[in-house]
Amino acid sequence: ARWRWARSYTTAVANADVVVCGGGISGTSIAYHLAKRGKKVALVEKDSIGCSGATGLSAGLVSSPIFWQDTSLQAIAQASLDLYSHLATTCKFRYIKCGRTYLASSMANEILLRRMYSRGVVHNDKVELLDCQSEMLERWPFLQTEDVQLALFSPEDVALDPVALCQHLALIAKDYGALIYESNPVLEVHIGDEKQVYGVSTKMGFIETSHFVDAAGIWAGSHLVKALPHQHVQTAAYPCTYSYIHTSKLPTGSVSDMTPIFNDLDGNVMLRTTSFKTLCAGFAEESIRPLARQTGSATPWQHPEPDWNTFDPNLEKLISRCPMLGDCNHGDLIVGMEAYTPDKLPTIGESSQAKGYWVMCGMNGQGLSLAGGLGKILGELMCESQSSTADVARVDVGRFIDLHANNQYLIGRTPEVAALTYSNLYHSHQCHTARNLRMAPIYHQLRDAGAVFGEIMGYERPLWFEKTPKTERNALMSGQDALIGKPEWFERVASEYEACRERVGLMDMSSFSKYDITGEDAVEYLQFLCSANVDEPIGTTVYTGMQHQKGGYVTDCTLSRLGEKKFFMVAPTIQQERVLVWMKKWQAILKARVHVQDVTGAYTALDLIGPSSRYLMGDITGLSMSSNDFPTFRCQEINIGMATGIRAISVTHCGELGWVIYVPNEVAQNVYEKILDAGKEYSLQHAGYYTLRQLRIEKFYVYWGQDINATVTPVECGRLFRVDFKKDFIGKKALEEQVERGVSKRFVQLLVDGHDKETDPWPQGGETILKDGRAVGLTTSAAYGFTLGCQVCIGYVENKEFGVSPEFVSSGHFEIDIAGKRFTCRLNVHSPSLPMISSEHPLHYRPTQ
Amino acid sequence: TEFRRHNRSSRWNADAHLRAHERSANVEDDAIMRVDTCQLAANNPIEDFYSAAKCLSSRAFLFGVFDGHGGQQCSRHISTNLYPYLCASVLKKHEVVDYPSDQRLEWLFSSSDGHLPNAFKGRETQHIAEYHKQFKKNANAYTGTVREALKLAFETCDKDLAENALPSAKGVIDRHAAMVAASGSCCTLAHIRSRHLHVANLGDAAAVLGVVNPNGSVTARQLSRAHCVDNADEVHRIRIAHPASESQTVLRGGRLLGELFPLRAFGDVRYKWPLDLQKVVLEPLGHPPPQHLFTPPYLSTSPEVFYHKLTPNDRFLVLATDGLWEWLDPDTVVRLVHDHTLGTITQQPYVPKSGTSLRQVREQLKDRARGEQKTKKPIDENCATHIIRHALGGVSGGATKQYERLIDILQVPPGRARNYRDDITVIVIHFNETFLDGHEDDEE
Repeated sequence: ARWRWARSYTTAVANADVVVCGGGISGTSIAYHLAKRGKKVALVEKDSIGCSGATGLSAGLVSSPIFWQDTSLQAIAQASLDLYSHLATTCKFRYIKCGRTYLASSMANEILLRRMYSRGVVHNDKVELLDCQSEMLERWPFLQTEDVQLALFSPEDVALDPVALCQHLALIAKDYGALIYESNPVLEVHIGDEKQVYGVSTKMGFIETSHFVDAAGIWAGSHLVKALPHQHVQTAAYPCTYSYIHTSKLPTGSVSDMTPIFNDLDGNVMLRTTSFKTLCAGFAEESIRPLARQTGSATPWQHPEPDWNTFDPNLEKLISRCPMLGDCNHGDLIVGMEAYTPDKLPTIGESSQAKGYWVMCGMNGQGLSLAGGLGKILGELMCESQSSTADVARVDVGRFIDLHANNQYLIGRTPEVAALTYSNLYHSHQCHTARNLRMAPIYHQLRDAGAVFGEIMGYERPLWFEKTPKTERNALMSGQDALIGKPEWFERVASEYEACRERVGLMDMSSFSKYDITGEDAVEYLQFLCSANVDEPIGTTVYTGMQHQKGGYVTDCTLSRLGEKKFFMVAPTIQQERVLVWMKKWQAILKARVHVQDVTGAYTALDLIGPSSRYLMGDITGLSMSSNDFPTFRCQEINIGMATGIRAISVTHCGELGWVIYVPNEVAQNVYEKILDAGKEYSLQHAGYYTLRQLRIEKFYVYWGQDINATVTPVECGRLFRVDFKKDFIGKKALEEQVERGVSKRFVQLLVDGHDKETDPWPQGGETILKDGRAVGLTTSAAYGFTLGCQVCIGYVENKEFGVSPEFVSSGHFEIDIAGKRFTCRLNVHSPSLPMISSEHPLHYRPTQ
Repeated sequence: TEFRRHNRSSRWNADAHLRAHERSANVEDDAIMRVDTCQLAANNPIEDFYSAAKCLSSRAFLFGVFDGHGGQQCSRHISTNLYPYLCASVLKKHEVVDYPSDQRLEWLFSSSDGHLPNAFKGRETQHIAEYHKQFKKNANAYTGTVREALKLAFETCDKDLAENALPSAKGVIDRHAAMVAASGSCCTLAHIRSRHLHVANLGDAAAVLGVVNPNGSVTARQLSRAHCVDNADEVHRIRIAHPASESQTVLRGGRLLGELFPLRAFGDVRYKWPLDLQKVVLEPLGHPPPQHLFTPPYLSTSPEVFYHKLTPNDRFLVLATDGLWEWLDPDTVVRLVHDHTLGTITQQPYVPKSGTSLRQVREQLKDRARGEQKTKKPIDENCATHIIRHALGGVSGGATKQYERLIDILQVPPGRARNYRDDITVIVIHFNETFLDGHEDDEE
């Protein structure tokens, strides 16, 4: 039986620490975690707990952590499973650990399954791979398995009653003191001075609070906030519909409640068959529709009618995979709704648009699998400012900027994302929708030069350059690299790499986030925020991290001092919003007289990489660019030809000699053409981001967001030499303690032996590192080292019990498991010394010491 | 870009102009599934009217187009007043429920204002009640067919209409009633009761039935003949009704008494009343008698009634005033409606019937997809609008040429447009295949 509450009110509650909006799995999870931490929570649901929106329509299927290749999401999924299994023992609701079987019919998906197996087998020895069709047929006789190359059984997957789960979470939260209001829609969120939340109007009355959590599912971000420009908080999530059929059981005795969930990766369909019903869903992109929002943002979404026509591509795949399904009655075609984000990752955190307005939305069809862990993390963020469960960089609300919340952008992108619900996306994956949103001023010149573009946060940047580009080609990469054998860009990147190492390469870096920081207190302010010493002479560039109180990296950036009280900062692309929020937060805390301005869109960044860059720069500037006049880590405003106001910084972000020049956009094409003309003398060649990736990984140059994040400290990643302990800065205490105590995690570079680049699966990051047969760490990024002549990975090794000493790294037999195949590898704790053929042999900058 | 913007704007304007008076009703009752209507004016004010109603006593549906001339008064009056007479004419054997005469009619829609002046309304109600009483009294005085009942209703309606215009005992003439009587109206009416279709035609509008053949093609079946000089039987009927001495004057220049094109109509009492009566009532209103008015009445109000028993192959019925038939022949209209219906059917959501297996669902979806590839989505959802679009824009040359012609002809404003085209009114009645496919009832 399901519970309903007698309304626990006679008059609206006067105040609460937190108002949580939404009674689905997201809302009840965060309410549970906050109430458990002692917060006074008011949970407000417009209908009934667990009965409306995505949770009410979901089939109650929980994916286990092996599905995710990202370690943060693995941790989040594990936390969810732990919570649900714990609740299932203390409360009585349907919880069936039936497991899930993934089926692959193509080599690409086969490699995906082997990678999943490689991840899973570390934690659970019941994970199975099957490559024998007759064994599959024997185990699941109702499936057509002739074309299945590989099946993976994931034993930890669960089917449960989502409504009962929500109601139990709410009940337990109530026991901890939470107040629960059903049939009570939120009417308005009130913000006052300094955009601080001070109350929530609901149908039952006003609730005073300084924290509002928007966990309203597809309605997240639609609540009235009059003081904001759009009259609501903008979120980069948009609802789409997916469809599934609910019909009778298969006419066979072979199905039971313990029959696994089946995911056909190539057909993109899902089957849940039990002894009393059959659920079949499909995720063909053409069968997914974005919902139509009314003109007013506060008005509700219209629930669309089921459409058999759009479901038909899925029905075809389902019947061909399970022919017996064709004999079942047509049943009910049910339209589910779910909110999707542009990068298929959920969104949690405090909105920069209103203080105290927190969001937890955009579950991308995996709400049940992730909300339990995300609620825990959001609880940690709200109570302690940091999460100990997982790194939040990947799921932070601050990874998006304003333009990601644009409805047209989201309508374009989210159906594609919804179609990828059960696909594994790797770093090379590119969507084919909503492209060409943000482009450098020289985009078309780069396109004509042969660029193949990939987007990051909507920004199109060249990944590599084709040799003989056709004029009518599609210059936008979509899909992802085959995870086995050489990718299509290999020869081109080899050529670009060679140019950057031996001559000069030109790379577009315009997508980097850029800021001007000015004001009376600029130096003191930045000294406190940054762990390196930034009080250097004018014209100096400093490579620094910004740490939080526990010493982890908030970001990794370069700071160039342009004047006494003027700095120019460059940070990774995905940091554009987050860094700004962090800096403004501390500006307010410190009451610093500082102005931080985002100038990302004002400059075109051109990276001149290679030994000949010195001479090329000399030619185009007419200045002396010798190592004495313009040494490494220097910044200066220069002229190139007729163009002025160009900021030249002798840092290349990949450990090579060179300059990044930041050109005001209005003169960007002029300067670009000037560089190309002058570069002919040096055989200048365009290079793309993939070349940068090969260069920096071979140099053991860690990047924020790919290798290091908020859970990594400079001590762990070989950046301690950058930290200035002679001053006070955020996180100084934590780093001092870690230096004293030692680290239990250490970043290393791995050189993979015995790897055939033609026939073996390529590393992608996320591979298990083994020492003497035991799992000790994970890779974070991977590339092919053209100079070293082998696959090169950056990763970390862990030894939680006894720490990671130099001896731990230097002794023992290290291996890496790539898609189930093990390779011996050698470890570097420092950057290798890479020889060059050309005449100039500058002492290279060593990124890791 | 400027030209394209102008082009698109013109297309929007043309579309808006065409669709201004379109209307669609899902009836979904007995044999009728849906009804599309559309009107395009050339006169200002428009002289065409249409209306639809249901007779609750017999569960019959009434659909009519009314083509007025000499003003809109008569066609407007008829479009609202004829149906009560028809509802009062229900044969005993067809009476499902015996309602009083003033409660039998249920309006579905009408292009005119259903409200009449209060004084006029009282008299009309009285007329209908009297007619109903007479009809029931003389129920067995005729053969007792729907055809006869329709004729009687038409004739009585017109008689009462003309009577309203006569001077009262005190010699007072109702100007409005006189104007109604002085103007005229053709009428094409469909009377549909279960599978029984009667088309009562008066004048030069037309009714065409769309019949689909087993091979999938569609043919037009005329259920009316225009009463005009092209109709040899009609000409013959008129000539023998008058002395041979008038053989040169009764029909001159293809028109009645050299003036009126349709040879049957409501109103037009100038062709019905004696000369002395016209001098008293009409001449003061500016309506002089026609020349050669020797042996009135010259104009008949008796409709020509066709009967057709509906079969599952009958898909739709098109009622349209002569403004349409000037441009399109019946075969083209029927083909247009058929193609339009296919195009819209493939857009309607598919719902599986109870008991269908998923494999059968898949087969049916494949069949629909095949059909979708053949047909093309029409510009207009409304079938009647679709017809008018093709009437004025042409059926060839593609959308671009069609729009060019359409924009040209629509640029002429109502009033002046009369020189190039006539008012067009179209009703398309879509039949319910399932109902018609059902068990035969032998009720006749």
